[in-house]
Amino acid sequence: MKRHAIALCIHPIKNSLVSKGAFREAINAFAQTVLDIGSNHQNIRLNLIMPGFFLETIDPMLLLPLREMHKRGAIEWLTTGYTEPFLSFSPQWLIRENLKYGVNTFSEYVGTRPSGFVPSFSNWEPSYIDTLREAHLPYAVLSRSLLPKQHRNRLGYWINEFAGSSIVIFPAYTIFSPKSPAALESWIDQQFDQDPSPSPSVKLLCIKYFFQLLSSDTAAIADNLRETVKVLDKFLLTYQPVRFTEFLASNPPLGLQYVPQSIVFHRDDSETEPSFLNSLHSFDQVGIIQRKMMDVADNIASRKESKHFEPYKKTLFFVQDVNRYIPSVESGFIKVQDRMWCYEKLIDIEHELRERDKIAGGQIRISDFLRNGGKNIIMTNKNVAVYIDHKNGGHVFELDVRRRRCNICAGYNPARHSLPMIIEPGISHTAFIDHIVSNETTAEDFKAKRFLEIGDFFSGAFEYKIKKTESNIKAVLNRQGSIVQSEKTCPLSMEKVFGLEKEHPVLPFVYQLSNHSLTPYSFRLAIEMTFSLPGIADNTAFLMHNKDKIAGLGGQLICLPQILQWHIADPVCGVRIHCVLQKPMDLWCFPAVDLKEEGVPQDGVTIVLSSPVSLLGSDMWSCMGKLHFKRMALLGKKTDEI
Amino acid sequence: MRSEALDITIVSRKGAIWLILSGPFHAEQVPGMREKIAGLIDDGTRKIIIDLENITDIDETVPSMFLNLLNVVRGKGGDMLLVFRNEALTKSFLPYKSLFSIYADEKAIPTGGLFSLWRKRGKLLSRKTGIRISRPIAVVLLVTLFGWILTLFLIINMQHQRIRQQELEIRTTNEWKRNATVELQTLRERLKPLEQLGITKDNTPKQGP
Repeated sequence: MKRHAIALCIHPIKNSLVSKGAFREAINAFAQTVLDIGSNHQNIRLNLIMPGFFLETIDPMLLLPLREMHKRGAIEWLTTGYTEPFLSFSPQWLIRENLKYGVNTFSEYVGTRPSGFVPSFSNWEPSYIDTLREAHLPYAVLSRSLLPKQHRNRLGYWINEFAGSSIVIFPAYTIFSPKSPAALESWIDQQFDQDPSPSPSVKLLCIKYFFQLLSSDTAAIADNLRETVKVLDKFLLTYQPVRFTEFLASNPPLGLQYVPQSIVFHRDDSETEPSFLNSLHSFDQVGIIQRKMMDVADNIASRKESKHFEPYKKTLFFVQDVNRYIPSVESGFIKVQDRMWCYEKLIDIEHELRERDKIAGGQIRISDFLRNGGKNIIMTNKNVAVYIDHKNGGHVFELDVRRRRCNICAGYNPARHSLPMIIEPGISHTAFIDHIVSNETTAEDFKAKRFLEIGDFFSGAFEYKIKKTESNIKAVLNRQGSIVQSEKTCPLSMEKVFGLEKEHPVLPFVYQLSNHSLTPYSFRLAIEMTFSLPGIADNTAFLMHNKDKIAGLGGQLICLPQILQWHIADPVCGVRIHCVLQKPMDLWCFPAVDLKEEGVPQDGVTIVLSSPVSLLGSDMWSCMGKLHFKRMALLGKKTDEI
Repeated sequence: MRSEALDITIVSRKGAIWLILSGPFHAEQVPGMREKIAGLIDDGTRKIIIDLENITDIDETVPSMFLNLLNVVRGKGGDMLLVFRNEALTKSFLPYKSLFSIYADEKAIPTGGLFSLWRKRGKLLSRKTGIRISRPIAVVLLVTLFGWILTLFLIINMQHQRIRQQELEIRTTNEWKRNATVELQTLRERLKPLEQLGITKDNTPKQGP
């Protein structure tokens, strides 16, 4: 009787951003654990999954014995790419480059190419089969949750075909290191018994073992792995531990299996999320980071002298890492440091490209940045970048302070969009949202979102005109809208202008409201801006008016009536926003996310500048102001190493 | 939407405003584009360079729109250059080839030479310092400055010639002195035996130690 086979894949995972030193320590400890296993269990075969950049960090003195283990057939290398790219989120050429770079890193550091591909979070895209074949990766290991329920218990491998191309896929059972089954022996027997395939064929149980690199109890995790291997060693006479290529060489596939685009949201989840892209894009920031990444990637791809842009590509490999997007306990777009880290890297590349292009003064772009069929206005100079969505209320959805490489409109918003839109007016936390409300509306009403909108400007489409002189740029947004006055709909036009002056880190803005009718209007204009301030969490961010410093922005409602200037500062991101107004306005400041929502991080504040407006027939009201972005000393160390 | 299919980038480079267009250029986009470029001209832009290389599809009304705008900008003393080399555009602009200034890429655009650079620099300095002078005054100042410099060079040249002449005289005198010394030495050598015999006496004063 033939022995059935077990393929043990060990996948060291590093979800969160940590300093290089801590990561080096963790990965070296993991390598040492693998070497210990190799020396204690000579007959065990391991399939080791790693992104290319892990190898760059491992101590060369540990890499050498790992090479020896591979030479004597104890290890088979598998890769996720150079990093762990999010296949569904990235441009195809960038994935191709990531894989190529990852494979080359393996050749350089362990002297061999990886034998197979493992998409992180089992993010499978059938259209990438050709890309994998080009990278000489003949098989992929996926979670068995991706298969139809009736086929999940079959032990072996399948052929996946899409548009005339095919690849081998190994469905794997997942074990998460801290909760490794105590009764692994009986569990293994149970899996083989559950397989309905006829017994003469050799069955393969593929176990994907997640090894958490950054944990408070790394010793216990390493012991857990050693125990698991010990169990497999004990089973040696019943089940043969194999490498994937070994099994492929002598066993036929179970058959054809069509696997659609999919993802397993939690690494050890038993179910997939079929419309995961819709689900992700119903949040605010994740889509904007992805769009920005694609925009930068397209810019780099259009360059002819590609050799100059290799370092930027490498940075993009890290930005396209799936861990920055999938929300989890330690990482994902809901974490302010992950969002800020992505923006920092992307803004840095944009800045370098701008320097290379020798662009002087401001630049205006009108492009489909959000890729939703409309156009966005992007105004940039050396120090500031302003992204305007003129179709949806003419608000600013991204505001980059390039001197500090941060986007100050990157606050987390737990409210989900009704449609998978990148930005949804009324829900998204953006800046320069124009509310027209009744004069009685108070700051408390705004904070509790109890106010009644009597205008149609916060979500309406604005016409736009752009102006450019040699040094200055301007975007003029105009809307012929309406407001409700005495239960009647009356016409009102709004013109708002954003500009950038030369290379100054200043964003001047102008509001002009015109009443073209003969009816007098009375209402309150409230301009809402949400800023992301990571310093709110540790109470280092503050608001300043005259010489009064107001801290504790994350938990209170602040009302400053009729002020002409204020500034808000956050030493964690090193930015001070100084606002100067031409006319006095009321300032209301409150946490962007309601404190009632448990477990939601506090990393943003909403500032509302409001003023009562009285317009006689054929009258006009205007207000000017400017936001000045200044640098301030950075507080604390940055954990920006991946 | 077809009316918004075109991506536009407006940027300043080397004293000109560049419009970089990419995507399909349909007839629906012509009015919007005309308005945008006319707006730039109204804002005082006089040198417009339009990069059409990344246009994927072009409507037949587009070249005539650019022709109208070219007339407007030239009427205001400016110029509009087109940059492209792709086949679809070359075919579309073929009937107007002699009317437009078309270049294959950025490098092919003439920079304007030294005079243009001076003029640009002068304008820049004038804008920075706020000092402006009329052309005749500038010519007078220039001629005066040139005269000063010429006079200075003439004085230097004259001084130089005089120094050369004095050097020559010194050299000649030194030569004569050397020859005279040698001749005197020879004569002294000849007179020495006569002195020893007491036939003649050296009456020249002896030099002290």
